[in-house]
Amino acid sequence: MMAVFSPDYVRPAARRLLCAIAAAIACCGLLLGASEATAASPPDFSGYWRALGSNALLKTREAQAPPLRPQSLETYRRNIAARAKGDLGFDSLYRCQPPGVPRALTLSPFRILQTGEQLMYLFDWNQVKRRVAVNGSHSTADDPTFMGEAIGTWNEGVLVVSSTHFNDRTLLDDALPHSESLEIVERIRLVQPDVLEDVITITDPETFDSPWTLVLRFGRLPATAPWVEDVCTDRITTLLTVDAK
Amino acid sequence: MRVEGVLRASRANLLGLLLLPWLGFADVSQAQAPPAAGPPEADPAPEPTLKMLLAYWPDLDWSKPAPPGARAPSKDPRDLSGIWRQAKAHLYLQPDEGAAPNGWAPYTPEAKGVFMHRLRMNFEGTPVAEALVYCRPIGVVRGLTFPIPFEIIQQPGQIWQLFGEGGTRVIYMDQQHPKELKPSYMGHSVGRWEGGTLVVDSAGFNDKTWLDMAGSPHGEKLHVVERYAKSSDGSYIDVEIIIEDPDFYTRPFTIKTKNIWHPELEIPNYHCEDNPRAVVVKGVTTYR
Repeated sequence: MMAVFSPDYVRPAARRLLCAIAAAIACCGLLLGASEATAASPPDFSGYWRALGSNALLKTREAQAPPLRPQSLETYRRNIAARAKGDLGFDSLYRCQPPGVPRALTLSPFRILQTGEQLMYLFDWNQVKRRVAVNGSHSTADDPTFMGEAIGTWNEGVLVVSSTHFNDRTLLDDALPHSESLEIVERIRLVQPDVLEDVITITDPETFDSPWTLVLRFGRLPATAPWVEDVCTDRITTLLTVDAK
Repeated sequence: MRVEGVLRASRANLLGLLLLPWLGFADVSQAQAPPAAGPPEADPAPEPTLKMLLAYWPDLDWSKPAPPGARAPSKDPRDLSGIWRQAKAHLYLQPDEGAAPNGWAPYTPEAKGVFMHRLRMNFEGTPVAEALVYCRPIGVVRGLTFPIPFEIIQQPGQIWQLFGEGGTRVIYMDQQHPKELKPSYMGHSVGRWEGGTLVVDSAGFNDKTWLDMAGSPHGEKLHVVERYAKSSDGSYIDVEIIIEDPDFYTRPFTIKTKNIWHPELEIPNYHCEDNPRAVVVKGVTTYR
């Protein structure tokens, strides 16, 4: 924001005046939200967060069903029916495989460890990690993964995250399928000091008729909450006995 | 992180499976199978010697520094953030006290029996199933001595350490161990600064992890003290690891590691639960 007011050719005295005006405007909150910061110092999302509300079956921002193509709709309905019967074989989560995005954001609380170069998400669920590299670029390798590849860019106080390189073995929620064409763009900002908003646009032409957008909100948990080691295989496994000695 | 390595190795299957995702970080040749220790003799098998053990689980040289032009490290001794990798992978934890290593870890007789069983099973090609290959967290001692990078992220009051093979720990800088600790794979760690040295005290471990690849055992009384001292140019961290467990070791012993700054690496999305299985083609173990 300051850059707008202080190009190099403006004389120092004028720059100071313009900066003062900009600061006054910012303080009054006329143009800048209280939680937004200048481009020079992005806001700090570090903390311990938990998704608000119920997100087991995602809806669009307009509270509509996601625009599934006919074949995907069939899969979606089949998944819901199977889950109702307690048959979870369709869900790789129950084989301890990583939840993917955005499901990981809704499944368990998570921490964000933010530095200048990255935001490291540490999910409580099975200690899954997601690294958002700041100002990087997507790789050209054809190397799909559960959690995808996330590149973030600061735009004023908003972190815009582009995620690609997903495999097709996760679900977007408890039932929503997707393909390897999945691309996710998130616009993340602090709407209150203790509320993080994530506006998520999902594009996957193999699965959906059109891109669609949902909104997740996260409430802040105490940063001092102890780290509890969650080990998925210990939770679900009674078949394998590990020789501890 | 796609790996295109080929392992010549029936004997190194276990090591190979664990290391394969990491070979992108080092010369493949460094992680190839060590020379065969020879087929087991007829029963009863001879007691493995230290020489046999070290031929099977050698110290691997990973001392290659960061490439030219890589981002320079901070010289602040209290800034340990970034990616670090051991210069030497300790697959067997030989104590490092004094000028020369003195061979075997100071096992109690019972611990030596457990260890020798694990070693013999490896020599015979039927390794004991251990927690790590069943996707449990790696534990602190093995995480610090295993040939994979780790990442340190510093936050107010907390230092996070992320181990690439699996396992995350937080070092609390502003508290003591709670009186009641539920045993866990990574234990509970508290730290403090002594000048420019970070001193970490860890307890509350379960007894399921191994201290090294070779199979050195421990129990729930395991107590670990680490001392992190960064070099003056910031390019490496010396870590001294003092291991104490009166049920398994007759005295505390020390392992020393050197961890090199590697900003060009990152902790990738390695998911043990989806670990691609090795495929054996014409006697050669490959990676799909």
